[in-house]
Amino acid sequence: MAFNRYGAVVALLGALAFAGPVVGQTVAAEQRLIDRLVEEDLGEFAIDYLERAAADPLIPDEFKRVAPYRIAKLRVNEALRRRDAASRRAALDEAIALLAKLPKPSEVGGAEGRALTDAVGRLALAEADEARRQSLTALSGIPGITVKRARRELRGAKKRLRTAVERYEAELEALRGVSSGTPDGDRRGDLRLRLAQARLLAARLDNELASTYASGSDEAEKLNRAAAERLGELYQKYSKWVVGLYAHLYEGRCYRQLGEHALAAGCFESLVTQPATTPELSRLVTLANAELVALRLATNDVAVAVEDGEAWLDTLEGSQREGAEAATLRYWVGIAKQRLAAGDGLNDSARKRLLRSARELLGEAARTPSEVQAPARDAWADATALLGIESADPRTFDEAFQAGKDAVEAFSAAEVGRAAADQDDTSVRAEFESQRVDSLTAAATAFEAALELADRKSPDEQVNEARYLLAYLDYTAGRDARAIKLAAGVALRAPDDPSAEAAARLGIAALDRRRRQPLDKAESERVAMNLNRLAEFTAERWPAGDAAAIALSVLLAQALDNEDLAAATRIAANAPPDQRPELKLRLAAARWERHARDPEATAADRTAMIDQLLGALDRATQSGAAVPLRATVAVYATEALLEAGRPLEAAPLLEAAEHGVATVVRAKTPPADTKAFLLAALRTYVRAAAWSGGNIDRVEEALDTIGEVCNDSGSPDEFRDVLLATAVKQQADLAAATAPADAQRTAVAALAETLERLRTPLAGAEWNRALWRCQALLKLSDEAGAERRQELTMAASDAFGELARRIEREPGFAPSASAGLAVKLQLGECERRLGDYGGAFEAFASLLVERPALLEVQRSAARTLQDWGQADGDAERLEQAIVGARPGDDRKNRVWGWAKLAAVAGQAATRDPKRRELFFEAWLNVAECRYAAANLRSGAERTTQLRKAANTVRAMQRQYPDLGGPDRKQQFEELGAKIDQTLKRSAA
Amino acid sequence: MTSSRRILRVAGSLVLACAATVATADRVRTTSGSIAGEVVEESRRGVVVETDRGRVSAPIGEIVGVIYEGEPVDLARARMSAAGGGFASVIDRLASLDDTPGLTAAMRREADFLRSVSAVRQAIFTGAGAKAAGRDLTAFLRENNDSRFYYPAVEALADLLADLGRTDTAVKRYRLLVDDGVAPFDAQARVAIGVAYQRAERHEEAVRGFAAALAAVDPETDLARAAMTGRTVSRAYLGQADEALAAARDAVRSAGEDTTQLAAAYNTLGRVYLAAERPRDALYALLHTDLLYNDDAATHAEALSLLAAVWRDAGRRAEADDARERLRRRYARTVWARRVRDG
Repeated sequence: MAFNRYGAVVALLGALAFAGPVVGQTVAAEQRLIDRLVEEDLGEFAIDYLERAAADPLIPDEFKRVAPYRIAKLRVNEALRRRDAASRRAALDEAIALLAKLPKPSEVGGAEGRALTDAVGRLALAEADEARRQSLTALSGIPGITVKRARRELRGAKKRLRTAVERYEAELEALRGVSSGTPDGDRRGDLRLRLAQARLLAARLDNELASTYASGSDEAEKLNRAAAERLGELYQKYSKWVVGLYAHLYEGRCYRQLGEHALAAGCFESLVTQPATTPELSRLVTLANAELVALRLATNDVAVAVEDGEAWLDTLEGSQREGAEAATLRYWVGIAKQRLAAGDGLNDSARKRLLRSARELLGEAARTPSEVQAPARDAWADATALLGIESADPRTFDEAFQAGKDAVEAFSAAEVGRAAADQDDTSVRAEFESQRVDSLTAAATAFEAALELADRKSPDEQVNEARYLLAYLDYTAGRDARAIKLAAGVALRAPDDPSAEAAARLGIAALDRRRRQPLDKAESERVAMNLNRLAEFTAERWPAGDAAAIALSVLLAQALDNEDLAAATRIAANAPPDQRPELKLRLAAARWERHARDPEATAADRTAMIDQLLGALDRATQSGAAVPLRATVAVYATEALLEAGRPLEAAPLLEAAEHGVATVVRAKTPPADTKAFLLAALRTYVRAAAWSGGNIDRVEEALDTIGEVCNDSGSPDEFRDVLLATAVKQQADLAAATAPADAQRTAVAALAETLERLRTPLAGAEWNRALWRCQALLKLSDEAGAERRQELTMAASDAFGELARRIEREPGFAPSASAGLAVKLQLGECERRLGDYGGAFEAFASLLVERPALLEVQRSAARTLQDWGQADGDAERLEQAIVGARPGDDRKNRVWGWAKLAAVAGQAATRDPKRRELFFEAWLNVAECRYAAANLRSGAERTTQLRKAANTVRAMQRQYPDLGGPDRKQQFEELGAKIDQTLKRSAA
Repeated sequence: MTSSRRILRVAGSLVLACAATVATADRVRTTSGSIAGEVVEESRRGVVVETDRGRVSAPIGEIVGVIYEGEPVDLARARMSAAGGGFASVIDRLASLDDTPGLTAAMRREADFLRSVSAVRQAIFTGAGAKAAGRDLTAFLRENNDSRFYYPAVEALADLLADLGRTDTAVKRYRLLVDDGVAPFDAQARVAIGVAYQRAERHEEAVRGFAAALAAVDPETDLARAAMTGRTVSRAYLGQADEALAAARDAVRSAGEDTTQLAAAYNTLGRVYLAAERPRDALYALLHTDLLYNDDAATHAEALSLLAAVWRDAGRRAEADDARERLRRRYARTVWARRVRDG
């Protein structure tokens, strides 16, 4: 457990220290070779290479000097690999003797000094590990190791750790003041971590030593108290390091053993609230949970221990379910269940169920190396005996293999029974589940025994079948690591065996599942590499089978995950012809995803990509490729066509048999049986169906379904967010599409429907979402035909009105004062469009009293006066539109009118495009107002106004020939022509 | 130069026409650019292109590939497959080409060449069908002995003969290339002569062959390094282990930080140790390539093939199997994989 892990961390850090450029005949390159040899399980060759170093002219002298120390360290590693305790002890003693003979370097921080530190540190860890092992053996009552000897070993290990600590401290002193990021800085960081770990281990050894004395004895109490105090100090000192958190965990364990339950609970509770952001922290939390179960048992809260323990076990996911920490938690929950089963008030059936569950948990703990493995074995045997299960050990491979096969059959029968049982008949289901678990455990135990009993005479086919079936059982139980090892072993080493292809398929599935779990970087890379290796092998070895299809699919997915399109293309192109269309479809989908993310992609690229996507989909459909993949691509292709402004072409993709977006959504067949896909498909369906012309029944139906799906999950926020995302896309589709008028009309109606359905969900929404709906309605009113424009403007007005009320009701709702002003402006704009010019003008004018320099409001106010004047045939209002209105105390107009707006905008027109646009708009409207006013008058006054209007147009055309752009230029020309015509008619 | 590298190099001389199907004129890709126009002459020395600015010649040593206007897509793909070493695909792609309408004589000739040379390369790789492939390529040469395919075809034929153990005949073919003095085929052939003798364990002739190559080729090239390596190894087999070791170690030292050169140098060192019957030292030299400098496919494949034998001889079956398995899986298309497979 922790000892081993710390050893591994130190070894890893040792390797990392040399992880820079390691080429050529450098010390770093040679060290890297040694590290790689060790990684490849070739430690004895690493030692041999180091022993030959002195005679090799290519090896740098510095490396030759440190070689003896490295040999000593590697000898420690090699000793730890021995399984037999006596042999391991002897090898460790040899390493100690070797280390003792080495000269003590004069410089603690020199190369030899550092190498000596490394060797001493490694030895201290090894001795601590060994002493703990001896102690556990002695406490388990296994003959051979006495408790007295175990104590001697623990004390000896503590002494070695002290020596290591002293060396670390001395070297750290020599490195004082070095900069981080340098090799010395890296070394310093490494040593600090090792120092912390050595101190932690030394303190833990006191706790281990305490366990060798009777619980409650003076010695045990004294040792545990000293350990708790030291661990508490370490927690304070290293509270931001994982080492510090482990110190806190063991501090809590000491308190638990001292009977100081409140203090223990404080330690564990603080650890389980840690965010488990890394696999290492997850493991720590699992251990803390295990300690909490143990603590509940210590306080006789047995039922709570079971309930909490089961809940914590349920939270374990993926790789968290494996390893010593999970085994420790299972052990304590198993013990808790055993205790509960032994209590009063249970009927026989409930007691048996509890015992069966306890036995299963204890069995799993007994199979996993951890500090509780030995007690787990004992407790499992107790549970087995209490249940009266016959567990005569098989004596031959044949017996064990047959027992395993029988148990697998029982397991399969229980699986079938459980699946067939009535959903509501919980007792029958529980019985099948119990049988299933028992048979799974029995089968695994039998095959494990079979593999141990296998010898040269055992038939290869049966041995491989046992390996494969055990791998299958492991995979079923979530023990992916062993499943991978067994299945891949059969596939790669015995490819001609009848079980090999199935084993390859299982190995790939287990590796793929493991790859998706949160793993540290090195493990993740290792799993990916092994998956790649097995998949390549499978595709090549069994090219026509299901296994190859899965393998190629995995290889393609890996290449795509690595963004290696070239490799993915090669895989698809070289696949067997019957698998090629499906793989090419995956590839086309990946290319589309990449294209969709590419900000520099052109429209031509997009057209080509869509063609590829549609072509690949057609070919895959003809070849009968898997429907879920085709359905996914159909969604992609529909979205692609919508985004390319070609919504009508998406129609065939909606209703296609089998994979059509509508087809899978209605049938809720895979992949639409998952909520994420179903919602994505529904969103796309709404967008595409919006362009169907006719009515929007299908859109409404899809929106209803979105509501139902989200309601099922009970998340109103989800419903709101899905609708909002749909509406945003519908708005973009409207902007992009070129479609006939009837399709355009239904698209507007569809978006109006979505926005209407958003009204309630957004009623209490935060600012941005609420504002977006208001603006979307106003924008949609611009795009709508005359028949819906007023209705949509009213809806926008209502929405802005509600927003304005919320601003008043809810302080802090609007992000700024100007945001509130903008709402009032939009509200006024809605009123103007609805013909309520008086109301609109009042709204603008009141805003301008506060903020007269808001050009956007000035523009709306002038526009309102102009529309009002034209609507009422009121020349005076038209004049106000030009010269302004609402004088203040200073007699200056608060509403400027177009003339002043033109003057103000003109001042910055050359540097600000928006002002320039406003400048030309204002002058055009000056001329428009004059022309409109002229039409309300007669005689000379009319002619005068017309001439003024004509002069304004001509002056602008003369001074600014481009008039701010072609559209505005045309407007000036058209107005000029109208004025000229009217002037001619007046003259006539 | 290793055989696998030469395969790639030859394939490179056939290369490469991504835009072949949309070409609006013949296009001659050269090492320095591209010439568009009409190919009006082709010979073993090169091609002549009629362009807007008159006739332009491209010497054979500078030609990377010729793409013909309106050529069938299968021809372009076959050319690309050959460039990538996919000789089996070349043969598949060209299977129905003869029925394609509009095929010109030049296109037909290139297709014949690709077909024949791919069959030869495939035979070298698989060890099967050598006789028929050699016969076809000989026939092609007879009919096209003044085409731009002459030198690569002679080289392929010589490689096949060397692989079959017909060393003297192979050397005669290589000498044709040396005597014609057309780059880069002459330099490649000089090194290939040394390699052929070395494979036949005729180390004295190999040393002479490599020495002659070293005298003729640019010392800073891969070819020179290959010749140097070859000479060092053959000298070790001639009992000059100390000199060979010194040379191999010098190669390691002078490789600097170039991982490909380091890999090649450690492979050479490994070979020299093997020649000097020091298998444990050979193991460590080769492990440098396998564990530290394994980026380059050719040198890594070579190291794995040697390691498979060294581990086996050391009684380490699992490691030998692992080396062989990795070689087979990662570098299946190399000659090293074939040699290990064939034992």
